[in-house]
Amino acid sequence: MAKDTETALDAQPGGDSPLEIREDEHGTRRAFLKLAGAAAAATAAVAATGCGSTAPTTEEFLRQHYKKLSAEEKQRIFARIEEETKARTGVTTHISDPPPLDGVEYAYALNLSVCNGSRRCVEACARENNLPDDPEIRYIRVFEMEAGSLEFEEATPYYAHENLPAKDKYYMPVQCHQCDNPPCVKACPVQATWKEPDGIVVVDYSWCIGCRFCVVACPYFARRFNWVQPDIPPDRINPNQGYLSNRPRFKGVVEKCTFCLHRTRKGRLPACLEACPTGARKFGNLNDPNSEIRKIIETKRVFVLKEDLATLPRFYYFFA
Amino acid sequence: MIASLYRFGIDAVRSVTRGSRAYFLWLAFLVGWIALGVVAYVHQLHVGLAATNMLDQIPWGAYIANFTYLVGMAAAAVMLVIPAYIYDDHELHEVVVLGELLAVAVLTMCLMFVMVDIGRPDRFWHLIPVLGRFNWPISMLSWDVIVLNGYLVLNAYITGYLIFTKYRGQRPDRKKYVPFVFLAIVWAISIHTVTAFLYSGMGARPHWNAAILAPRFLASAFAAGPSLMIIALSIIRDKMGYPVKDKALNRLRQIVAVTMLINLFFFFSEIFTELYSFKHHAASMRYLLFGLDGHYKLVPYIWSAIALDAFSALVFITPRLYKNWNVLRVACGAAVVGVWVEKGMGLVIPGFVPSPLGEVIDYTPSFTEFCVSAAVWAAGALIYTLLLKAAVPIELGKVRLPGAPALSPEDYHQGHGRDEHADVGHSPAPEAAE
Amino acid sequence: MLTRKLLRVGLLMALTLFGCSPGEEPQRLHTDHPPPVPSGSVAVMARIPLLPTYPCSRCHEDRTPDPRERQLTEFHTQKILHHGVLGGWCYRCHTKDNIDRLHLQDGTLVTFDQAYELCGSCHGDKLRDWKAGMHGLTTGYWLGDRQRRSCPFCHDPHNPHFPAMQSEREPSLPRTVSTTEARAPHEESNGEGH
Repeated sequence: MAKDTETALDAQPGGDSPLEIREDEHGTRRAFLKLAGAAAAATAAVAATGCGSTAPTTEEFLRQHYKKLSAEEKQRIFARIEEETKARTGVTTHISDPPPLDGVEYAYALNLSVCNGSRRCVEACARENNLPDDPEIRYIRVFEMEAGSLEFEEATPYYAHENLPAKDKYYMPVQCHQCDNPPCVKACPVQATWKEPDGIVVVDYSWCIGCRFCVVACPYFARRFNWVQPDIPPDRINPNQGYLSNRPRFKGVVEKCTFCLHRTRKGRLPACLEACPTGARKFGNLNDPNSEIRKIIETKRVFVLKEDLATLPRFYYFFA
Repeated sequence: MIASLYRFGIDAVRSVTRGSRAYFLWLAFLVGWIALGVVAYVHQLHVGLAATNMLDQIPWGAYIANFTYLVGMAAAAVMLVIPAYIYDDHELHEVVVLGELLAVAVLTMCLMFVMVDIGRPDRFWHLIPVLGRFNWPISMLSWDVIVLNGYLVLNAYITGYLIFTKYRGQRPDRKKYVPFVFLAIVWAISIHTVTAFLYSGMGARPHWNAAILAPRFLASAFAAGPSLMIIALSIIRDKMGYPVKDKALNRLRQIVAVTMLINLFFFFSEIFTELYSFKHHAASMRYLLFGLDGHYKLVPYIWSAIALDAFSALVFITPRLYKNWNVLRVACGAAVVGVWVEKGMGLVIPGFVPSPLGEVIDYTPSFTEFCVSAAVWAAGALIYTLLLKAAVPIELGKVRLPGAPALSPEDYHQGHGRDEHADVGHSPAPEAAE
Repeated sequence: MLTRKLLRVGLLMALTLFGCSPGEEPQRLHTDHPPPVPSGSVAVMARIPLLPTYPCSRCHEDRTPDPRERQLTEFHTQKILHHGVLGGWCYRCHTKDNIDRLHLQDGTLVTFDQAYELCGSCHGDKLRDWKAGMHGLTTGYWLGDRQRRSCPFCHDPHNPHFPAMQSEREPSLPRTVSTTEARAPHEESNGEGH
């Protein structure tokens, strides 16, 4: 698809929902926060000597958990992040926070018969979600599998070919399966990651302490840690950002695929799906009995990875 | 009370700041390592955890491996407490405080290892219940935070109470500490069980996802911990003149003999179950023992660990060998190092190899990780040294509140009321030794 | 005395350890409540505007149909038929007396925009999947309007095998791994295409 079409789709009026700020349970810890403010400023100053420009500001240090933020606080935080991005890169971004849609549960299905391992999804995902190239972070990992085998130990993600698909191979892209029973959410000691009502497992990048227990717990190798401060060239920044998805991240926190929630919660299909040259990727609302995804799950022999772990993925594979 | 607490502090500082040349050289050595570690840690803060050799495929490395091992060490202090309080073993009674002080130092190291491992140490307050958003009781890590800090507080209270009453020349009130001692016994087992559950609860990691893990953790901890205690107590006896009886050390040796054999047996059972059925889940075990796909990095480590464990077990059960103090000490060292390798490199790392999606990637700590880890160990040794330096003179009755009666360790703990200094004779000149 | 104390402590610990509920049995995805709105409508993308030589009648009006199988030398030289064991050459699908239309087995004429009906006359299972949105590329909005590509967008009807593609750059190796080390074990699986 040409770049122009992408932006045209972005500009479509139906694309932006009017209410983008979610209001959840409201904390009453302002008193403590005020008290702690002075101490925090000192801590931040100390940390600054060690961390250089990436040290947290006092506001960041004290920022509450996503679910405790009021609509006004969110508005202020989003504006500040947009300002910071502008100052750092010169790019005007827009941060939104689309809420989960009522009666919607997402599911994804991938047709392994047609996937040719071209990795177009990987790169489209990287551009959409502002993933850095060096050191590289990629949410999707495509494995070149031996025909007739589901054994990952015999597969490799490091293949390179002129003519795909290679003989006697098939290709298995793996990304976050947005499990209905997510082991990563169980693992997190500070509730920095949770499952949203529409099934998407999100991370509050401003709350994660970087213990990586979720990375250890994930059976699908779907979580990525920022080992350094991620850096994206200004011309590569996607200005359409979601607070819980592709907004700027920082070193020391975990991130992951969010089914492009800044797109999908506004009705759009995920970036990886639109980039797929073979149409192997299918996405939709599981609760709509007439949706394409429901038809696939009902009529095709779908399977999930590592079913024995009872993670109940929302990411199905099928051969058709 | 407040005044005597104040004097207690002053006297502790005085004990700590006075000592022989060797004492200050030792402190300087430790502080040197700590300084190096601080530089390395600042570098790590600056660069990010990329300064380590951890990866998305190997999300935990040397820090958490050390942490896991040290939790066991802290739990092992209970191996002094159980015989002393439950079976009223008088010999061990006298050294219980030293063991619990070790637990305090080791727990501090555990917390330090966690702090250096997390990507955002500035957000540690998210872990504090009420202030933060604690994922309790679902996350095993939140349990670990509770049990470790609880155990630290318990041990700090028990030792603090015993030493302070001793300082005031009073007999400790059993009601004020014995219940906590029993709580600490259960708690000690729980800290290592919870830490084992961190691992064995991971369905994603077949190498850890086994019921044997928690028992194996406890067995190895109860082998390595008392071994370290034997070494520490014999040094304390030689250098500080604390009256540690051979009988006490021998009791510890008996404990280690049993636990080390159990540890080896558990390990063997695990190896057998994994390898005989040759399931795919055994890939990690094969990687550990024999190498996988041309990756052999852990093979020398694990076989030396098994050799060290087996050697120490042999010494612990052979009278001709263990009756020689030097051989016993070497065997204890072997047990400490053997379990360290077996639980660090041998248990934490192979859990990540192969990765959940089959990638085989080797891991060795980076220079930064080495420096920071060494510094945390040095900090632990420093804390234990200082705690001992402050506590031992009080325990010996040399330092006490002006006007308080002096009690020897024996009468103090058992309340036998024998004449003071009656039994301290066999130790070399206490303070002068430094 | 001692046993009672031990019991009490043990009970306390047991309560602490097992006070948490063991958790509910993981539930299968529940799909019983209705969606807010139907998941939108699908438009099949028009094919005709993309055909460079359409309408075909512009040239073919003056030409006599030649149903023989042969090497085309003047026009459509790149169009070599690699499509199963079809007999009948061009007029198996194109229509002799209405060259701007395709025809199905039973003679029904369809436009090039409806070429999928023709494909489906042999590949019925694929047509069924495609109509249900299970096969083929659809872009746009899952909740709203989306565009579906018909068969010829991906499969050249004269040579329908999906074209081979070059892979995008491979994932970079972990920073602690040297190139030689990582490649060695997977060498054999990398043979193709190098």
